[in-house]
Amino acid sequence: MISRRNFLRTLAAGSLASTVPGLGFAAPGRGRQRLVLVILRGGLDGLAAVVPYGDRAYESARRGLAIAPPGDPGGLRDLDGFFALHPMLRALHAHYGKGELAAVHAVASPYRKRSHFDAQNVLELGLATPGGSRQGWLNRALPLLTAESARHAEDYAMAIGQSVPLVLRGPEKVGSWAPARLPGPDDDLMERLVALYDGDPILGPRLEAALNAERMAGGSLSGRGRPGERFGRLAEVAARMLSDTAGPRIAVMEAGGWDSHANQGREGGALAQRLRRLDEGLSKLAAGMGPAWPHTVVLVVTEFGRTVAMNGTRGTDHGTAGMVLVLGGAVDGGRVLGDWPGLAKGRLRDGRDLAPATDLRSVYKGILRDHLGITKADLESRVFPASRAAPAMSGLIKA
Amino acid sequence: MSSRQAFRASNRFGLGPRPDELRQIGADPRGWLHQQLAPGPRFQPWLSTVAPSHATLGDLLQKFYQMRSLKKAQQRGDSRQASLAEMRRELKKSLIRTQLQQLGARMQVGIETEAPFRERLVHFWSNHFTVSTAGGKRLLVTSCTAYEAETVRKHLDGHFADMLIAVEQHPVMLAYLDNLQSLGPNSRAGRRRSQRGLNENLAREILELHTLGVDGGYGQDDVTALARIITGWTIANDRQIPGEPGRFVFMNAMHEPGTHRLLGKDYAEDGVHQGERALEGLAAHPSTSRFIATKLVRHFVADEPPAAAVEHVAKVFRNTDGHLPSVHGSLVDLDECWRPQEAKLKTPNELVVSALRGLDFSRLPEKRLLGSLELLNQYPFTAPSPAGWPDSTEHWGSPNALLQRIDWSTQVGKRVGSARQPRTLLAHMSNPTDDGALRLSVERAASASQGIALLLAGPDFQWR
Repeated sequence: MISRRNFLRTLAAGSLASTVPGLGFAAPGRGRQRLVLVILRGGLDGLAAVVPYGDRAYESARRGLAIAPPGDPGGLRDLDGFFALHPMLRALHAHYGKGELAAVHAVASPYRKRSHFDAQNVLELGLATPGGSRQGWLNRALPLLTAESARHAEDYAMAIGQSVPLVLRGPEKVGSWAPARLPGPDDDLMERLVALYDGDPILGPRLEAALNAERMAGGSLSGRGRPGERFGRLAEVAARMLSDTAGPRIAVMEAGGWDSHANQGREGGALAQRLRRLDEGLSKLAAGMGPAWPHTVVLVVTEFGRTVAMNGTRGTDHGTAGMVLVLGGAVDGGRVLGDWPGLAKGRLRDGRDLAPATDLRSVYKGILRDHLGITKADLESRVFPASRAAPAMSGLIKA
Repeated sequence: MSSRQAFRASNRFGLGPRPDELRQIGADPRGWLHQQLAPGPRFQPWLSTVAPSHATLGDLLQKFYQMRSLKKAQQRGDSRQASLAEMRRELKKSLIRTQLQQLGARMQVGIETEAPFRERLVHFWSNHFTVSTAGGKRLLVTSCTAYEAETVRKHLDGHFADMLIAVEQHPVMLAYLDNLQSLGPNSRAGRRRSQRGLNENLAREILELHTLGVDGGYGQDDVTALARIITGWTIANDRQIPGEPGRFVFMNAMHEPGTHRLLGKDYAEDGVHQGERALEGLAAHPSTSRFIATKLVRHFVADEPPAAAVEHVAKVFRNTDGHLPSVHGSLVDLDECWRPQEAKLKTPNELVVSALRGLDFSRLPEKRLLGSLELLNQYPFTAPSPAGWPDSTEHWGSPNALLQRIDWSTQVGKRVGSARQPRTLLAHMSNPTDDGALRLSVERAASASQGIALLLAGPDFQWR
C-alpha cells in the first residue's frame, strides 16, 4: 500500500512555492526568527526538572522526592551551583553548557487556583482569569507578525498535533498538521480525488495546502507511533517544517501526562521517563532545525507547578509556581533566571507551594519583544491586555 | 427542479438521504419537512436502553461514597488498598462500556430515523445547550445522552423557555458548569463557610451562550445577580442535600436570600420559582430572539447569516413567545434556505451519518461508529467549551481535516467493498446540480471500493 506521502513525491514540487510570496523582503530579524511553543499539560513538577539543590531546605522539604546531588552516580546535572537539571535531561544540559538554554524559576501565570482546565485556559489565553475570550495570545500576535512579512497566518503558524491548541485559536486561521491515524488512499485514488477537488474553489486550495504540509513534514511518518515516541515524532516534523525557508515560522506542540499525583519517582520512575522523552524530543527538534537553529527559540511551559512536599501516594499535588525552559540558538542561555523565593516552610504559598516571583506573561512578552520584534505598545494593548503588572522580561534573547 | 429541491431538503434540513428518501420526499419537500415538526408520539426503540440521568448519577454518587469510605479505611491502616484500586478500575470499565452503548444507540437514531429534520434539530439544540465531558468532567459520560433526551427531545415541541428551564435545572448541566456548590454569601450555608462562595460560571454561560448572547446587553452585575438567583440549584445526594440522589433539588440553605435585580427587573424571593421566572424573563428578552435566530440561520442557510432571514426568524420567535415548532417552521419557509449558492460544510458527525444513511450501512459495532467520530475530532459530548461545536467551514474545513476525511472514506470504501454498487449510490448521493465530474469519476473507478471512496471523499459530499 502506497501512502499518500509517497504520492507527493510525484507531485510537481513547485506548487508550494506558489502559495508563499518571496521571502526576500521580510524584515531582517522578523523573517528568519522561529518560535516553538511546547505546552506540557498536567502541571510539570518544576522542582524535579530544574532542581534547587543548593537551597538549604531542599532535602527536608522534598523528603521522599529529593534527587541525588551532582557528583553522585545517576545524580543531578549541575547548572550554576544552586540549580541543577534532572539526570534525565542530558541533551538539555549540553545545550546549557553551550549557552543555548535558560531556565526561569518560580514562574506562574496570574491564575491562583488549582484547576487544570482553568489554569491551561489562562496559560493559553494570556489573560488574568480564565474564560472571557476564545482567542489565544499567539493568535492575537499573529497579525502583528505577519503584517510585515506579507504572509498569511496559516503559512506562518502551525499546530503540530491532533488539534489546534487554544493558544493558536481565534479569528486568524493557522495551519495544522497531524500524523495520519488511518492508512490513506493509494496514489491512484488520491490522483482521482485531486482532480475532483480541482473543481471546488474553497476545498481545492485547502487540499493542496494539506498535501504541501505533508510534503514539508517529510513523508516518512505514517500511522501511530508507540505513545512514548509521539512527542519525538512531532518534534521531528516541527523541525523539518520550520527549517524549510518556505515553511512556517511558529509551531505549537503539546505533550500530556505530567500530572504526577502518584509514584512520581526520583532519579528514575514515571516522571523521569517522561523527562527523558521530553529531552530526546527537544534534542531532535534542535538537531532538525539545522541552519535555522541560531534564529530559534523553543519555549517550554506548563500550567502550574506542584506541591513542594510529597503527598500520601508518593507523588505531588497541584501547586502554584513552576519553571519555564527557554531553549534555542537565539537564547542568551547558560543561566537560571528569576528571583528565588526559597523552600523554607515560611516561604511557601499556602504553606505548600513554591511562591511565584515572575509572571508567565513577562516571559512571553520578553520573547515576543526581543525575538520577534513586537513593540511594547502592541504587547500591552493587543497581545496581553491588562498586563501592566507583568513587564516584559529582558535578557532572554541574545542581542 | 423538484429533485434538486428534494436533495436540498434531505441534506440541508435532514441528515442526508437514505436510499429511497428522495423518492419519498417526492414533489413536496417543504411538506415533508413541516410534517416532521408536527407533535405526536415518536417511536424511538434505539433510545429505550439509555438509563435516565438520575439513575446513572445516583449510582455514581453511591460508588463515590463507597470509595471514600474505603479510602478512609485505607488511611487508617486497613489494608484494603487492593479493593479501592479495583473498584476504580471496575467503575472506569463500566462507564466506558455504558457510554459506548449509549452513544451507539444515539448514532443509530441518526442513521435510521425517518424524521431526520427533527433529529437535526435535536442536535442543534443539544449543541446550543452544550454539555461536555472535556475539561475534567469525565464522570458525566454516562449521563449526557439522557440529558439530551430529558431536555431537548422532551421540549422540542414546546416553547424555548420550557427547554431553557429544563436545561438549567438538569443535574448534568449544573455539574458541568459548576453550580453544584455555588453558595449565596448570605445563605445559611454561606455564612458558615467563609471559604466557599458564589460560582458565576453557569450564570455567565446562561447569559452569554444560552440566551442573550455576548453582545446582548448584559453586564457583570447581571451575571452576579443571576448567579445569586440560582444558588441552591443543585443535585440531591441524600446526605447533606436531602432528596433522591441524582435528582435536581432546590436547597434553600445554599440560596442567596432577598430580591435580585436582573436586566432591570426585580425578582423577589420565591424558592425555586425565583429562578424560573428569571429564566422566563431571559427567554423573552429581544436579544434572545435575535441570538437564537442568528444561530438557526447560520445553521440552515450560511456561515454568514443574511440579516433579512435572521430578522424574519427572530420576529416569529418573538410573536410566538419562542414556540419552537413555529420557529423551526419559519426556517423551512425561508427562501434563502433553498437557494443553490449557499453551501454549508458538513461537520464530521454529519459526514459520518450521511455516509451511513446513504450507504444504508447500519448495524456497525459501536466502537467503529464512535471510533470514526473520534478520528475526525468530533466525539459526541466532548466539545472543548460550553459554546459547543462551531458551525462553520473555517473550523471544520482545515487542510488537515480534509485529509482525515479522505483517509476515513478510503477505509469505509474498503470495508463496504462490493456490498454496494457505487453507480446505484450516485442516484441519491450525488447532487443533481453536479456538473457530472463525480459521476464520470465514479463510473471510471477501478473497483467498487474506490468508487465508494470517491463518492464519500470527494468535495461534493463534504457540503450539504
